[in-house]
Parts: sequence; structure tokens; C-alpha cells
Amino acid sequence: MKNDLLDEATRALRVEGERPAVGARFTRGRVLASLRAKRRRRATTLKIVIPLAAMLVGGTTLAAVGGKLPTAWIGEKNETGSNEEPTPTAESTKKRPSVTRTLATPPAEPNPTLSAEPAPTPTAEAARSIAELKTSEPVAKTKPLRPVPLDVEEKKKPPPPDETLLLYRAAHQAHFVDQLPATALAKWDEYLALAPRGRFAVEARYNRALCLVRLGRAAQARAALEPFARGTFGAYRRQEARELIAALDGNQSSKRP
Amino acid sequence: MVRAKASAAVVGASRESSACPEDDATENTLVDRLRRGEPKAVGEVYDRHHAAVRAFARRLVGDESSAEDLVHEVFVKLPRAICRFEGRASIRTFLISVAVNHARHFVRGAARRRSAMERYADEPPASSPNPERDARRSELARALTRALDSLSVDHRVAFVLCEVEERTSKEAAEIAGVPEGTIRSRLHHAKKHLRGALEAEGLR
Repeated sequence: MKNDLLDEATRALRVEGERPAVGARFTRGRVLASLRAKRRRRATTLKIVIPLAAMLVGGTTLAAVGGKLPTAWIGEKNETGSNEEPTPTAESTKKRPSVTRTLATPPAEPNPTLSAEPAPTPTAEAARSIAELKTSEPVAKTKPLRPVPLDVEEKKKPPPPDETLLLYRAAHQAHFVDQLPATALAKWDEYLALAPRGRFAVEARYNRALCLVRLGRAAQARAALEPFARGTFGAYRRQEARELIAALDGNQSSKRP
Repeated sequence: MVRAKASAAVVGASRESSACPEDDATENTLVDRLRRGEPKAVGEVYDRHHAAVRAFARRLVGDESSAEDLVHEVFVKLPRAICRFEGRASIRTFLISVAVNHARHFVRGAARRRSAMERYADEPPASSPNPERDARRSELARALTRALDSLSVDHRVAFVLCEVEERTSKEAAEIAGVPEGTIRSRLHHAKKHLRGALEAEGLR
């Protein structure tokens, strides 16, 4: 009896489901409209997102190649350690000798401010490449190249990165390890001539200015430091450059009388 | 245990058609076109199978508008879902399984709506040439739908597939994506529960 009732109800439900659908055509239209809208949304998203992503990637790449990325970012990419711009705190000024004292020291003596320079850790490969460079024709003996002015738009195609990197390492070695300002200056110049807007160009310019300071070529040093003091490279070494220029001016005025 | 069903004529729209090589070829072509993302292919699949999907949706959900929404959902999801189609079952069975996968939300919504409608008793009376018979049938169908509302969606799916749509337990297991034994067990419990529920309704 109970089973009969369930069977009857089941049959009733079965037949009820078979009734002709009034909204079948309407649902068909709704399905196709939903699919069209979905495709349109996807296409719109692709039209907007892909060009935006391409612009972002392309712009970043161009800026990286052209050396126009913000200095802080370049610093972050180049340095393996801290990328923060050293701000003159009480502790740091205590550790750092005064600028006049730095200028008074003989050129061979390392400048303490240079210790904060971006210094890629010399690996075995780097040491080998430096040794190779040393065995080849000494760079210091070649005719020193003039640094390329900043204002001139450089249209020269950048050389392969490996070559510039090797040059940078050689200059770094001469500057920080061998502490030979003249050799370092020649190598920084050479690096800047090859890669005036390269990844390390800003650091190289500053290091070159320091070499000029150490060699006592005050006018050239001032000219090299001025863009940093003016803030052409943002906050990068601006304070140090100002202090150095002030110190150079002080030195000169004390020499004049 | 699910017995072999004989009265296939009643549910012709929802039963699997016998495999004909030409139909198979057309279906394979349709599936290929769906996989390629051809918009017209969805329309063609709809024209071929919407009646079966709608009948199943009505029986499962027990509500006309929710059933239409479920049919819409199934065909909108089809272009993406077709990548799961392995070709072991027919595309109609696959569509029913897509409906089962998306039914939960619609079943709950329909049950809530039914409960609210019953509270306010504003169910419209059906008009037909044989009102007494139709009224009895509608009453029974509504009573069974109400009883189904008290079941879990899984038990409901098992009952609708095996009893209302008269599918074999193997087919139902394929559609629901569970072992055959699970379907049988769910069906047994569903029938037991429904008998009690119909008795409680006071139907004779």
C-alpha cells in the first residue's frame, strides 16, 4: 500500500517533469547571451590587461637598459646586501672622519666613505676574470678617456653586459682593493666610455669623482661632484657630494692667501 | 536494489537514445567543436538535449523557474566543463552530471521558496481538460517534492535518477560520480524516508 503510493507519486513527478517547457526558447537565448557576454568580458579584459602588462614590462626593461630606473632601484638590484641610502646619523658621522681630514690624507689612504660603496663580493670567477685582465694589456697605460657628459643623449648601442661588468670589476679592484686612484680613475673612465648609461654608471661616476679628489684635481672633482650635489641622481650621495665640494672649496680658499 | 526499468516510453526525453553510428559521429563532432570553443556548438547541444536536462532539473528541483535557472547554468558552464568529458558516456549523461554538480544551490533555493509559498498558500491552480486526474497527479507530485525537500541533495539525486528517471544504478553512479553500491544504499534510505514522509502527509 505504502509502496503503491510512493510509486504513484513517483510516476506523477515523472509526468510533471515531462510537461512542455514554456521558457525553453527564452532559456536558450539567455544561455547564448550569457556566453556572448562572458566572451566579451574576457576579450575586454585581455584588451586592457595585456597592453598594460606589456607597457609595464617594456617600460621597465627600457628604463633598466637605458639606466633611467630610479637610483634606489638600481642600487637594490646591484647590491647584494643593504640597499638603503646611508643617512648621516650621529653614529655614522662619528665613525666617518671629517671631509677635511679625508682630503688631508695622502691619496693612497682609503677614503672611509668608500667603504659604503656598492661592492660586489669578488667570487672565484670574478677573481679569475680580474687576473685575466691583469695579464692582458694594462688598462692604466692606455690613453685616459674623457667621461661622457651627462646632458648629451647617448645613442650609442650599449656593449655586451659581460664586458662592462669585467671593466667595472677591474675598476673596483683598482679603487677599493689596490687603492690606486690613478689606475682606478682610468678604469672608471674606460667603463663610463663603454657604458655611459649602464647599470653601474651612477656609482662609477661617483667613484671617479672620489679618485679625482684623491689625486688633488680639485676643479675636475668639483665638476664631477656637482651633479650629485644638485640631486641629478636623486638622494644618492647628495649629502656626501655637498660636503666634499664644501671641503674642496675650503681647501682652495685656505691655499689662496 | 534498483530493478531494471521497463516503462522507458514515459520518460523518452530523458532516457539515453540507442547508440547509432551517425549520432555518435555527430556527437563527436559537436564535442570537438565545443572543445574548440565554437559558440554555435552550445546552441546545437542545447537544441538536442535541453528537454532531457530540463526534465531532470524539474524532477530534481521541483520548481519551474529554478529548473530553468539550472538548465541555464548547465549550458553556460558547458564550454569549460567539456574538458572533463572523456567520451565514455553520452553527452546527455554528461550534461545531467553537470546538472547534478550544480544542483545543490538550486535545490536549496527551490525548497526555501516552496516552504514560503506553502505558508502563504498562493500556489496557482492548474487548468487542464481532465482536472480531477491532473489535480490528483499534481497533488502527489507536490507531496513527493515536499518529501524530497527533507532529504539530503545526494539522496535526492539518487532517488530522482533511479526512480523518477528510471536509470540503472550503474548509470546513476556514473552521473553522480560515486560507486554503484553507494547509489543503491542512498536509494534504499531515500525510499524508506519518503514512504514515511508521504504517510505523514496523510495521502491515500
